[in-house]
Amino acid sequence: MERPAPIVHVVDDDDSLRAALMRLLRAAGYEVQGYPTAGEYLLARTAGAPGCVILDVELPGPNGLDVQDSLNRLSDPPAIVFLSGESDIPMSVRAMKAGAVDFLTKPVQREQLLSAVENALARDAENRSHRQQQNVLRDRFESLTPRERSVFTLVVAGNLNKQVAAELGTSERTVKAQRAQVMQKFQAESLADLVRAADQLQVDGSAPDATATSKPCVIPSPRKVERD
Amino acid sequence: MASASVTSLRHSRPGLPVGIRSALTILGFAAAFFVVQRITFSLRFPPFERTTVWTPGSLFFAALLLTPPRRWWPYVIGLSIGVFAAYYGDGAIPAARAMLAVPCFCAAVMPGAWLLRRWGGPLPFGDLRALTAFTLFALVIVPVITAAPVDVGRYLAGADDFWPVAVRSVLCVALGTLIATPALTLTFGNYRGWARSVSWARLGESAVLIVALFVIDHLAFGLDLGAGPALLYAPLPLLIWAAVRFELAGVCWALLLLAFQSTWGAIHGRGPFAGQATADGVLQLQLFLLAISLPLMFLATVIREVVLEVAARRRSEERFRLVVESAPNAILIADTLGQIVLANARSEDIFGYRRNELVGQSIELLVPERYRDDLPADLARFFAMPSTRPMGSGRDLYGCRRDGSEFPIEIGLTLMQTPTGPHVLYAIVDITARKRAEEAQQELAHASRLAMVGELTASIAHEINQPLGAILSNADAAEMMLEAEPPAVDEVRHILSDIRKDDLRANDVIQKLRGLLRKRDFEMQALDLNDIIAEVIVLVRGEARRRGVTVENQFTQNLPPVQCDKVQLQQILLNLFLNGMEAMAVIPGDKRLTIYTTMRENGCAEVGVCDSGPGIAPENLARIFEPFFSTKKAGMGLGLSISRSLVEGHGGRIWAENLPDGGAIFRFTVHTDGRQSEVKSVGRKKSLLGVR
Repeated sequence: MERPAPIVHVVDDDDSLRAALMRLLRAAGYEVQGYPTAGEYLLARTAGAPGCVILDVELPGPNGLDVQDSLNRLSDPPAIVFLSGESDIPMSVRAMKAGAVDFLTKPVQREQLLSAVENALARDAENRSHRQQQNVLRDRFESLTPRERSVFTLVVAGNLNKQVAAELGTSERTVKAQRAQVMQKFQAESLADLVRAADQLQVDGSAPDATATSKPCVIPSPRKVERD
Repeated sequence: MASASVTSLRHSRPGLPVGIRSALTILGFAAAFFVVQRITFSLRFPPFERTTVWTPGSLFFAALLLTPPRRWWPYVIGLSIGVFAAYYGDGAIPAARAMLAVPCFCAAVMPGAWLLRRWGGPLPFGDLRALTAFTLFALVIVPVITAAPVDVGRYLAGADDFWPVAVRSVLCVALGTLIATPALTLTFGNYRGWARSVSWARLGESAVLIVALFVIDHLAFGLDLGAGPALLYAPLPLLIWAAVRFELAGVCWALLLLAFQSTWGAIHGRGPFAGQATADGVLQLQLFLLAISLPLMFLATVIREVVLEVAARRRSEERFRLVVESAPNAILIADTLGQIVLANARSEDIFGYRRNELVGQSIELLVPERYRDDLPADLARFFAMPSTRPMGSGRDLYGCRRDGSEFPIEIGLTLMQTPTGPHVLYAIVDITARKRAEEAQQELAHASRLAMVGELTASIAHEINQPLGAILSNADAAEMMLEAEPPAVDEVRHILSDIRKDDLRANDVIQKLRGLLRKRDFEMQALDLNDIIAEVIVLVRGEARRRGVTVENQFTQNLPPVQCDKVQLQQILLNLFLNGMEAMAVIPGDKRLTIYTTMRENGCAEVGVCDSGPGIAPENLARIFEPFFSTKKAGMGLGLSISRSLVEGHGGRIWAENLPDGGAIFRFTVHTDGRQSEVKSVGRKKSLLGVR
C-alpha cells in the first residue's frame, strides 16, 4: 500500500518562531507546513492524511486548547504537540487529558521537540490503524441483518443458544444457523473473537467522539429488539 | 447753653415723631440764635449798629452743614423767629428791617452749605482744599450777599460814609463766618468722637489753655497797660498751641475768645485799639483778627494732615510688620551686599538663630558652605533682571541651620526699593515635608508600577520566550544544516540574520521593562506622544493576545512633542490599558481597545483609551479616581488614583466617560512643548528646582 509521507503542521502566530521551527523540522527530515492561525490550518487540512500538529497555546482568538477541543470532534483528530510560553500545569493537564501527545514549553529543546514529533507521528499511525480496524468491524456489523444483530447482541452478552431462542421466540436451530452466519460475517473463529470485536465496538461506541463519527455504530439493546 | 440745644435736636432720638422733632428744632434753634445774637449786640460799638465779629450767622451755617438739605427748613423757620425775637425792641435796627436779612442770608449760606456738604465729606474743612473753598465762601460770598440789602439801601440813600461802613459790615460777617462756623460745625458734628477720645490729661490741657488765653487776652486787650501795640501778638503762642494740639476746632474757639475779648476791650476803651477814633479802631481790629485767623486756621489744617499721614504711615508700617511677623515663611530682607536688615519670627524657627544674631550678618550664614560660592552669581543675576521669582532656577537649594544641619528650601526673591537703596526680600519655605511627600509619592508610583508589571508577568514572559524560542530553534536548525552534506551555508546565513533580529526583539522588551521598573528621579523631557504609546503597546501586546483583545491605535500624526516624564506617562498608559482589558474580561465577543491621540485647542495633547466593555456604572463615574475605590475583586483601587496624581503632576487632567454605544473611555491631557511654562504642581516645582 502506497502511503503518503506524514506532514508536520506548525501553527504559531509568531512568524519568526514558526519559521525557526519549520527550519528545524525540515532539517530533521520532515515534511513541514506552517500556518499563522488555526483557521488556516483547518482549511488546508486533508482528512485522513498522516501527520501531526504543533500547536501554539497562546493563539490570537480561540486559543490552542479550544482548537484542540474542536479538532477532537472530528472523526480523525490529529495528534497534537502543544507549545506554550509558560509551563502552566492546569493547562497542560487539560491538554494531556484531551489526548495531546506532549506539552512543551518555549524555548523548546531540539531533542524534546523532535522526540515529541516522533511520538506524535507514531500516535497518529497507531490511531489511524486503530480507526481502520474499527471501520472494518463497523462494516462487518453493518452487514448483519436486523435478526443477526439481535442474535449477535444476545450471544456476546453470554447467552446460550437456547436462551437466545427463547428470547427471540424462535427455535434453537435457527439461532444456531444465524449465529454461524454472524461468526462468518465477523470472520470470527471462536466466541472469544466475537466477544473481543463486540468489545471494541462497544468501547468505541461509548467514546466521546462516537457521536461525531460519520458512521454511527449503535448496538441495539435486547429490549429494543424485544419490541421489534 | 444755646448751642447745646442744637446738638440735642440734631441727635434727637429717631423714635421721636417727625412733627415734634421739627418743632423742637425750630424752637431750639430760634432760642440759640436769639441768645447768640443778644450776646453779639452787647459787643456793638456804641455809635454803630455793627460789631467786629458777627457770629449768629455761623450758627445757621453750621446747622446747615450738619443736616441734609431736606431737613433744613426747620432751621430756616427757627432763624426767622430768632432774628425777629432778637431785633424786637432793638433800637438800632427795627425787627421788620432785620427780617430782610433772612432770605439774603439763606441765599448766601445755602449754596455754600450744599456745595461743602457735597464735596467736603461728612465734616468739611478736613483738608487744605476744603478749607480753601470754605474760606472763599466765608470771606467773599456770604458777607457780600448778607450785607447787600442794608448796604444797597444806604447807597441809594446816598450815605456819605458808605464805603467805610460797607467794608466794616462785610468784614464783620466775614470774620464771624470764618471763625465761628468751623468751631461750631467741628464741635457739634463730632462731639461723640471727642467724648470717646477725651482724657483727663486732655481736659486739663484745654482748661489750662482756655484760662491762659483768657488771662493773656485780658492782659493784652482788656487792660490799659499803656503798652500800646507791643502786646498785640502776646496771645499768638497760645493760639499756636491750640492749633497744634486741638486742631481747627480748638484754634477757632481760641480765635473766637480773642475776638470777643479784644472787641470788648475796644468797646470799653482799653487795649491797643482804644486810642484811635472808634471807626478806625473797628477796622483795624477786624484786619488784625483776619490777619491772625487765616494763617492759624491753615496751620491747624496742615498739622492735622501731617498728623494723619504720620498715623497712616505708622499703621501701614505696623501692618507690614504684622504681616511679616505672622508669615508662615521665613522672611529676610537684605541689602545689595547680602547683609540682613530684617528677619521675622519664622526665620528664627527655621534657621535656629535669634533675630539679633541674624540682623547685620551676611545672608551667606544661612547657606551651606559648599554652595556659598554660587551666591554672588545668583544675586548678580537677580539684580540684572530683578523680577519677582524663585531663586536658583534649575537646581535644589538648601539652607543651613545654626547647628550646621542642612534642609531643602525654596526661595522667592523680590526687589524692594527703599529710601536707603534697593533691598532684596527673601521669602524662604522649608520644603522638607514636601520633599518627603514627593518621595513617598514616587515610592508609591514605583510600587504600583511593580504591581502592574507583576500582573503582566505571563504575557511579558511570552513576549520574551517567543524570540528566545525562535533563536534556539534557529540555532538547532543551523547546527543540523551545517552537519548535513553539503552544508546549507546560505540557509545558515539567513538563520543567523533571523537570530540577530530575534535577539534584538527580546532585548527591546527587556529594555522597556527595565525602563518601567527602574526607580528613578522625575525628569521632564520633550517627547513624541505616539512613540511612547507605541512602546507601551509592545508591553501589553502579549496580554492583549492572551485576553483575546484587539488593540488599535488612531494616532494623530505630527503632534508637537509633549512635556512629560516618560516613565510616569508610560505608567498612566499601562494602567489605562490594563483597566480597559480587565473591563472587557466579562463580555463575550468582540474585545477592542482603541487608543487615539489628538491635539486640543489649548495647547494640550489628549490621549483617549476606549474599551468595548460594559462601561462604568453611573454612580461610580465620580469615584473611580478616588484612592482605594475599586470595582474589581482583587483590585487595590490605587491604579487610577495614582494615574490621576501623575497626570495632575504633569499639569493635565484625567476623566472617564461612558461611550454612547457601550464601553468606557478614559481621557487625559498633557501639555505640549509650547506650553511648558504653564505646567504646574509637582511637575513645575520639580522642573524649576531640577535635579542637581
